[in-house]
Amino acid sequence: MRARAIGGIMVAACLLALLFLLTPAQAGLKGDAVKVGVIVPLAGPAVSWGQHSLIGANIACDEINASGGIGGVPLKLIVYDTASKSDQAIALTKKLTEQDQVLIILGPILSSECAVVFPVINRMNIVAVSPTSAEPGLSANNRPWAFRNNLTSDKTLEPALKKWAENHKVKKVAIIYDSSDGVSTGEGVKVFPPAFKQLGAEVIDSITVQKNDIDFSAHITRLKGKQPDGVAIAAQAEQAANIVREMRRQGLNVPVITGVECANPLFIKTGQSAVEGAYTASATWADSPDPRVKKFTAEFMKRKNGEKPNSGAFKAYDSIYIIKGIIEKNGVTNAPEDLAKDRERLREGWKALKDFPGVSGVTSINADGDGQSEPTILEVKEGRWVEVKR
Amino acid sequence: MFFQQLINGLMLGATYALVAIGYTLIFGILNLLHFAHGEVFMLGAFIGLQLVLWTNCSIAVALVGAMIGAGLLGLMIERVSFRHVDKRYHLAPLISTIGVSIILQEFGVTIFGGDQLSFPETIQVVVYRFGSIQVTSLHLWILGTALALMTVIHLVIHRTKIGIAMRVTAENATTASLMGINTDGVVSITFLISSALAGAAGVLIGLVYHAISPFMGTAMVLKGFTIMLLGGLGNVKGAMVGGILLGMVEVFSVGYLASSYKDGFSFGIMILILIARPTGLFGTRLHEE
Repeated sequence: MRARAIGGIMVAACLLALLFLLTPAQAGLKGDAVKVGVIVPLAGPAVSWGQHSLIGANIACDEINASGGIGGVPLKLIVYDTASKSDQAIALTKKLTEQDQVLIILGPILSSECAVVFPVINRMNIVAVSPTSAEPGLSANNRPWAFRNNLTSDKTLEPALKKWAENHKVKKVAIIYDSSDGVSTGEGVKVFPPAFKQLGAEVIDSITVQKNDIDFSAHITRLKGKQPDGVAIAAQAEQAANIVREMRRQGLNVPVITGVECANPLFIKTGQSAVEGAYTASATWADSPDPRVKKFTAEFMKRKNGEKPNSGAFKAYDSIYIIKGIIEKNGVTNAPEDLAKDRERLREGWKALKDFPGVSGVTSINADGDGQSEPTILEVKEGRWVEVKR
Repeated sequence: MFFQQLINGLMLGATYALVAIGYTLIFGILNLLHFAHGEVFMLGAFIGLQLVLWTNCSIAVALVGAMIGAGLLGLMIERVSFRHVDKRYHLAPLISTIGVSIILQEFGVTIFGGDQLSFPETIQVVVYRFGSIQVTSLHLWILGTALALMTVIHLVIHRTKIGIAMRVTAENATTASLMGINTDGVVSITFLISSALAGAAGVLIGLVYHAISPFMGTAMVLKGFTIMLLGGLGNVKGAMVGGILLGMVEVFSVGYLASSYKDGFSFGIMILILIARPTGLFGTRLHEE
């Protein structure tokens, strides 16, 4: 009798142990890492967007891995540098998709790079999510695999342009834009002119600069001759700041509004006292009093020598968490044989994204594949970007 | 506005001329297109910047320091990548300098980062206004320095023994060394002088444009090449005039025509001049192989 009782208990114990072993632990993922590709420019004029986005993604990755990874498997970011060169961007995208076999790609950063990379990922059936690209139309033209977790520049700038024109009573405006840069050209040609027309301001001149130009004396002298009451500048932060410096140097002290590429501490660092009072718009705001934003900003500043994050950092951080959420909810398995299916699951997840509460605000993805959230209007006050209330 | 644009063109042109003078000097004496000249110019700017940041010195000191630093850099480039390259292969020295330029640029990015830096605002800039026209003291510095350096180079080349040695080496290096001239020494001095000029240009341009970055050299070298063709290969006076001409063309095409095509106009003018005068405005120094 005793032996049988012990035997019974042992069988029960074995069965229980077997039960524990067989039950999957929280939909555990296969493989030894969840691979997410990241392509950013770490050299060239837009390097600050690339660096900040990368740090934002790394912060998210470290936080996720500190609490056990995704489905028990660590998250791994495979990072490549495009050096702001579009052909590099394409080659690296192909490498990530075919050789490294990542589930999803975060990037590219520049609208110019997205314009060439999106058609490629659309053909290769992998999602690419840009946390920063703002030129209108890029995702809409590359459905269903291209996404941008960012507002397009027209949506971001509309409220800012209105406020700026009203506050400064701008009736005659001059536009300067960088014709060698995708997002700047989009703003200079497709966003500023119709917005100004609607606001009743006349565009008296529209001139261009190129990415590597450093001398703006001729441009400003020409504008001075036309006597605008305001100047709208669409160029990357350092160049725009130097344009404003030249304006002040030549005595053209009219109000300035810039495109979304200048919503960046670098603009103020380069422009210093000359850019005081300049307006811009951003999808995110580093000085927001929201405690999660404060925590993120503090961690970012630790990693980047006290520099404040631009919107790329916020959006990249949120994008990584969104990816984690989709992987967990949509049954991504991370098994090598499921690669195509997993990529599709990620696509569906991004397509259906609604009201994700992130540090960059509450985000949804619209039918064009672009992000939707409330933009912030910013003004340079005493050397910092400060929010302008609507 | 016309006169202001004229002044803008003059100042921009003077900055181009400074870089072009060193470039054309090396070509004239050594028959070498020194692609790394732009990077020497860039590192000169950084050397000047670091001097100011570390020791809080004046522009003049930064300028001299940058000239010395760039000069030494030029000597090193000559020793490492030019001296032992076999000159019988025409393109070899040229490609060697391309390699040096890539290395120096990456070196700049690694040490200084990719951002655009500028001199601290403590450096005093005085703005002179005459009616609606405006000139800054920095621009006058550049103009003055370019003129002074051009005069000095001209005197050195035409009135000193070293100058004679340089001109003879340019005509025929083999004969020169047979006549007892230390051609290796001449080559070193040429690199030294041109690089020092580039260093000075770097500091002055960095002061005016607040855009010191490891990438500032590449654009300059292309313009330097254009100016060299415009003014006459190897001709220092041509580099000066060509530089100012290019500056004027760029400024006026922005001011009065379409700014998107300013590079198109610059190169268009270059082509027209070459069609009319193939040896450039002031004539090319001919070389025997």
